[in-house]
Amino acid sequence: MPLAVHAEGLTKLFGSSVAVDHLNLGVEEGEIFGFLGPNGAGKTTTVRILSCLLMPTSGSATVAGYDVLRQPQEVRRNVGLLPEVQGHYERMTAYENLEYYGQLYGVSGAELSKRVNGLLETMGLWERRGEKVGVYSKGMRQKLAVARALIHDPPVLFLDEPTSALDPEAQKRIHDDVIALSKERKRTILLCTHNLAEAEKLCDRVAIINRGRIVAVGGAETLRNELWSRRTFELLLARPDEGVARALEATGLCERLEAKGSSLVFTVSDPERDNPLIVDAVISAGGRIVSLAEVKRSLEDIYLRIIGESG
Amino acid sequence: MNRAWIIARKEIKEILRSKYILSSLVIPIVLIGILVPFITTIIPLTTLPGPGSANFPPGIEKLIPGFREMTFQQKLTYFETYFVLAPLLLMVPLMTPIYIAADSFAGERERKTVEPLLATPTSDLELFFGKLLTSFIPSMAVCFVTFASATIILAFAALEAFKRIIFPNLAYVAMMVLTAPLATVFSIGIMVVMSARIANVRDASQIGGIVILPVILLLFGQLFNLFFINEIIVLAATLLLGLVDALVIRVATSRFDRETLLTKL
Repeated sequence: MPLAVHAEGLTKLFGSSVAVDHLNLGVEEGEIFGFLGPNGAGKTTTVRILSCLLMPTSGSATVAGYDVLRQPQEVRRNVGLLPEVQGHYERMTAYENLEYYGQLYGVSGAELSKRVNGLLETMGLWERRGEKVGVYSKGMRQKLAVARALIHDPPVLFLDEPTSALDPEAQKRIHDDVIALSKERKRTILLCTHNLAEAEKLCDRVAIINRGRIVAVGGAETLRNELWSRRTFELLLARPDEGVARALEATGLCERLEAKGSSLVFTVSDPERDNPLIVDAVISAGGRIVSLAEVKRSLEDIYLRIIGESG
Repeated sequence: MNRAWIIARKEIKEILRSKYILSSLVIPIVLIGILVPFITTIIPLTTLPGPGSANFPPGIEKLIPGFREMTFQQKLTYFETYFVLAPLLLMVPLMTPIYIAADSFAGERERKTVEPLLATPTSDLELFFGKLLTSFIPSMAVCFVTFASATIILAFAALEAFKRIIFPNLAYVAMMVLTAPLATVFSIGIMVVMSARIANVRDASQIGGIVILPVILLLFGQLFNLFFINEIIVLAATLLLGLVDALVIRVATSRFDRETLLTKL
């Protein structure tokens, strides 16, 4: 699979302060890649380098197959950017804003009208297309900024907090659009977000960046397995039963056992081997099982642990 | 260069929607194109008695052949036209673009529109010329309207005093057609450079106001009879401005830095 975004040893200094520190990155074509990290970690600077807005101090990068140092215009042509701050022309209408950017990206004539109209409809802004952006709500501005990033139908999209300020319905629409762009149209999406639930829902892989360095990269499942070798399960009984909890403890299979009402939470080292034995023990002790399910570590757990460990 | 035109077209559309910027364009027309010529020529001609007297600057007779033989009203009209009003007209191409040009990049930065703009495949040269055109087109329009308006009022005054039109002479026509556009480009070039390097519009326009200094010197030079603007001075000024403009554009485009534009606080 070709890499749509590739960076090697990417470094950016502002005076003596290191914003991005020898960063290596590879995002595959059609992938939704999450870029997570605390404020000031270097996410925005990295995206700005990859969008040819900033020059790296050292290192190299290619976006959509073009070199950010030698072919900046080609990179810009192939990237759609949703920046942290929307930056619309407030005295112009939504239609005029999109039309202007479409023209700057080289879209013209009937194709431009078609795209502007289509995006205004998709983003739910059609009814208010003739109003000046100055009167738009925060959410409407965000939708317009997403539309602007898509106006030239770029193969690579850099989206910084795409759903911030959006209501749940609009968030879902953006999520669906992002997934469709990636899975159906093979667009590559690099998503910077503090919304870890959103990242977990959308991203194929994530990179966690701290102090300018990538400290972890991979799918949520991979990172979870790397961080936690033991898996935790919750067994729900039909009614609370202390005898069952004692029987479970007596098996010696549970490393950690927590009983709370009719719920038993335990950790095992090898679920394929241990769980059937645990179920047998519960039934033998007269327990009636309603469900047995794994307690998943969320991306938030993963993120907090990695950031905590990386200092 | 197509993108430069796209930028200019959009910006001019925005200018026309801003009452504040529009008023900055109307002021020179009203002030220098209408009020000053009216007050300095029409009013004295209609209110002062025929054989009046005034102390005209010494040495003016040497500069203007036939000045001594003129009637008082003719002297007054000639003096106000060529020594007071005409140099003021020169300030229009320099002053008018100051605010628009100061707003060019500093305004984009203030309104946080600079990042999406810089992310487009617009070259540095296209950005620079886009901003230059944005200021040039309305400024030249203001310049010509002001000049035309002043010329019409002065024509009435001259017809009253001389029974013929005395303004503009060849030097001032050449100045409007050749020198004024170059002076506008000079003013805009300096302002765009300032605007790209200074954080906000107010600071950029204040510092950029320095561009009108040469014209103020010219105004005083003429008022104190050091020289009289003629074809040779206009030609020399045009050539000099052409060279300076080429230099300003060269420096501006070679020092244009997208990163400074984005990160300057």
